[in-house]
Amino acid sequence: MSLIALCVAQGDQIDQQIVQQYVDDQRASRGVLESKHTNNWAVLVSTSRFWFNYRHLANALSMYRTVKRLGIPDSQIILMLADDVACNPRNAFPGTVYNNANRALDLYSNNIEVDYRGYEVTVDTFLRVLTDKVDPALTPRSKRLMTDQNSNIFIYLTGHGGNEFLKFQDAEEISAFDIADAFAQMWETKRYKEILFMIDTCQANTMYSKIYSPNVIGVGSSELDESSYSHHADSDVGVAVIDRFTYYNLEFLEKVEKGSKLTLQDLFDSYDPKEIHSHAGVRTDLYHRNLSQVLITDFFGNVQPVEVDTFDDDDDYDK
Amino acid sequence: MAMVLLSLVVQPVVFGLEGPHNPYRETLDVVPLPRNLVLTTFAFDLMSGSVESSDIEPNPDVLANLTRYGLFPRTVGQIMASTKTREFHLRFVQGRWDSEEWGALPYNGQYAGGTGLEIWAWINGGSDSDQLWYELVNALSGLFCASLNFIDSTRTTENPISFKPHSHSVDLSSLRLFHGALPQETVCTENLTPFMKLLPCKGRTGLSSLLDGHRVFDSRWQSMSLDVVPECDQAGCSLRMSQKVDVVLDTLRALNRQVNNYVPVPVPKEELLCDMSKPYHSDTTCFPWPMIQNLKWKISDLFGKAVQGKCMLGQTQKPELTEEDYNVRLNLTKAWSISRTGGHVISSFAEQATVAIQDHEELDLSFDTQNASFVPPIQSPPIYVQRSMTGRGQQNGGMRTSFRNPSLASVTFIYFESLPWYMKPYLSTLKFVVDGIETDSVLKEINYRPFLERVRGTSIELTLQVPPNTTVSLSYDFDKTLIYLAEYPPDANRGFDVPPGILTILDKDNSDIYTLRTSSLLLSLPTPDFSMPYNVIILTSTVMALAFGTVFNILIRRFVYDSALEAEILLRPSLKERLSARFLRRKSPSSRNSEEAKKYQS
Repeated sequence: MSLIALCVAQGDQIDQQIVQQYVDDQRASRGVLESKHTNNWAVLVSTSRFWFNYRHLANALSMYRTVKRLGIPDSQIILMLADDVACNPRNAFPGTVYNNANRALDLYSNNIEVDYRGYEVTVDTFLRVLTDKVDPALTPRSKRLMTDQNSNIFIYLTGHGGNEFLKFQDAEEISAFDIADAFAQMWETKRYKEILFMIDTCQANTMYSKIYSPNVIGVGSSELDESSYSHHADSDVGVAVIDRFTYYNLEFLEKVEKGSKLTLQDLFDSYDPKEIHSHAGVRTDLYHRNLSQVLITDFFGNVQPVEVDTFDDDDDYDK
Repeated sequence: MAMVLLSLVVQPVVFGLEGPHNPYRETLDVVPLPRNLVLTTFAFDLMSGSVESSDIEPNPDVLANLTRYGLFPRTVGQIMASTKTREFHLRFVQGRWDSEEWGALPYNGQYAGGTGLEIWAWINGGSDSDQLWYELVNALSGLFCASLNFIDSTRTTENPISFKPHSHSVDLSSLRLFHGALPQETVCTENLTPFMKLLPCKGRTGLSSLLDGHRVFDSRWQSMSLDVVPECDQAGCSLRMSQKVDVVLDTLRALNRQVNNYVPVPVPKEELLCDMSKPYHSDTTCFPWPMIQNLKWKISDLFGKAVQGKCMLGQTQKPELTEEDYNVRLNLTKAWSISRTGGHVISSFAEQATVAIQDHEELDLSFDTQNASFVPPIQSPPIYVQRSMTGRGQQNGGMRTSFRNPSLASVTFIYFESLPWYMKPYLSTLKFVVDGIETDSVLKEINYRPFLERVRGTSIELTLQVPPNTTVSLSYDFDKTLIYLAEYPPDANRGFDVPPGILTILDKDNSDIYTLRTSSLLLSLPTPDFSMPYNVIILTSTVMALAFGTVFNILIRRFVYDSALEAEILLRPSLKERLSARFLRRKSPSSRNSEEAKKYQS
């Protein structure tokens, strides 16, 4: 059944029924409905090179700041930036990346860890990170996605894209099928429990349309034949500093704190096409839970297991 | 936890070192430079615990068994142990050191590198050393968030004679030296962060608290270096890590930052300082005066904050501080007056002052002068070097390097160049010109390893001797290569970076006394039209489809004689008849072939 589903998925048309059947079978066999995730990872990728794509790097760095603020440590974040804008000679504010013209927040603080940068950010590297098909002797652990079957992963892509493709560094493209197959490999090798796949490019919704693995939520910034726009520019930086979809996401996420009870449904309800200037889409047919019961911190924050200490007397530890 | 910390401070002998050595020492040297610049040199020295050895001359290989690291970062030690690295040296540099204005490099260039990234290491792995070298650079790429993993065989040079290991006395025959450089690598805060995290106080207290990416990378020249070498004495061996951060800052730019936060605003006319000696100076024309004389700035102006107290880890409490225990040393002249908040002055002379940081107290130093051009005398470097590319076109070019010896003694040095494989030099065109005359007397020795396409680049090491007060110009030609499509980087039209040339001056004992690097160069290779693969595929597919389709039809299509169909066609009136019937209103004609058609109708 799974083989048939895979073969069919390679074709132009995905038979929705077969996919749904496959997904239900997989979920049942894995028994995922009962357990909760135990760790959170984030893969944040900005695929654009050159100074005028400052906003894509600001997008990725804004998400980096958000997930760090909500608790995911650097060791569980893979940040891939295709270019360096902070120390770019064209940057009037050296060592700084802003995502707002009010310049209130510096995204490039003194505690930043960029795992893949510059020419390292390629389609090949990205897919290897997802599927962990790396040379273990040569790849340091900080550059590997060491997830297990209880991990929730937040994958965020931003850059220039189109109908079922995303451009990497103006030289190559990744297609929606590549991403779908990578996720399928991750499912087969038990590398995730749930994935939140968010993408902010032109015609972004097409990028998640080919996914056929269980427990994936797809969020895109614009429909087919729709462009995603930048929000505003900073006249001293000289270029646009943030994209609309990411801007409105951040506006909502700024209200989220570590113990917040806000849900993904609240986040998706806050999307207003009149403000975003494009129709953001959400794909939930592969996902089993009700979005109004999924906390934002299930993907953007980190699980910190806390055991309540009922001992009153410290001497009891010797027992 | 508090008990352990106390014992660390009180009994340094826990680290197995003889005598009251501090395992950790940090210093800052501040030297004002001409044109309102200032050179700040941070030095952090860290010793690991030692491994005892009963040999008379302990072999650093025993460090593979090091377990007591103390404050030394375990990550670095374990990377070295697993890749059998004896010692390694890593450099991150951005900007250009202006030898004419600023003189000799700090520490005589021993800790300076070339633009971008540079790394060299001695690996004791025998025949596996190549693989261990790649493992070392990959592990360090993860540790320092730098693309060191791009150092493959095409960017590695083996055993250049310019570099001497720290441990001279040890048998070097089993060691292999690897050198790699990445001139196009940017250095930014993500490299500074792990650099600081290797220090005991991790940038929270002590001198490392001054290091802020927003200031360090807003400089004319900055160099971060990391050297891990084995140190052996009679008792055993330990690892020493020296980290240095050298920054040349523009004080006016730093002061302006507080006013405007760098928003580029033109200076109002009243505040413009003009050079009035220029002939064209007028109300509307102003040649900017290069510096101001009346200057007052503080350490906290330069770095955004004062020194946040003392780093207590690895320090012994000494009742009497001597000059060797200084934390901040200022090299000044009589024109500068210093005031401080916090800290403790150890010595104070007109030309030099040393200050120690007090625990839990911020230290800020204020520099005040009415004559900012009166700076400490610039120590002239033993040699000046300039390198550039000559020629035009996309087929070949030339390289020209000029060495100027300003002193009254001749200078002998090794000039090491590592060229990428797509830059193919012709050693037969190597020429030396002294005072307009071509000569070979300056060249003492050549160590040349030619390139192998796509395997390794060219490495040239020339031992030259430049006479006193002379300028020698070295030149050679090279060919450019059209490389494969997949080998071009995404921004191919920018060009390809050529690593800097490394100049090492030796003295009579063959130990190096000064190291200097040229700037890196940008090589423009012929780049193809990247849309051509698509065009070729489309064109070829069309031609193939047409050719195949036609030939297929000719070969396979059978023409079948269908009598009924032919009769129908013959019975149909011709076009001319139909038209004439329509317009001349004749009766509908019958086909002139109707008799023939009737023959077939049966």
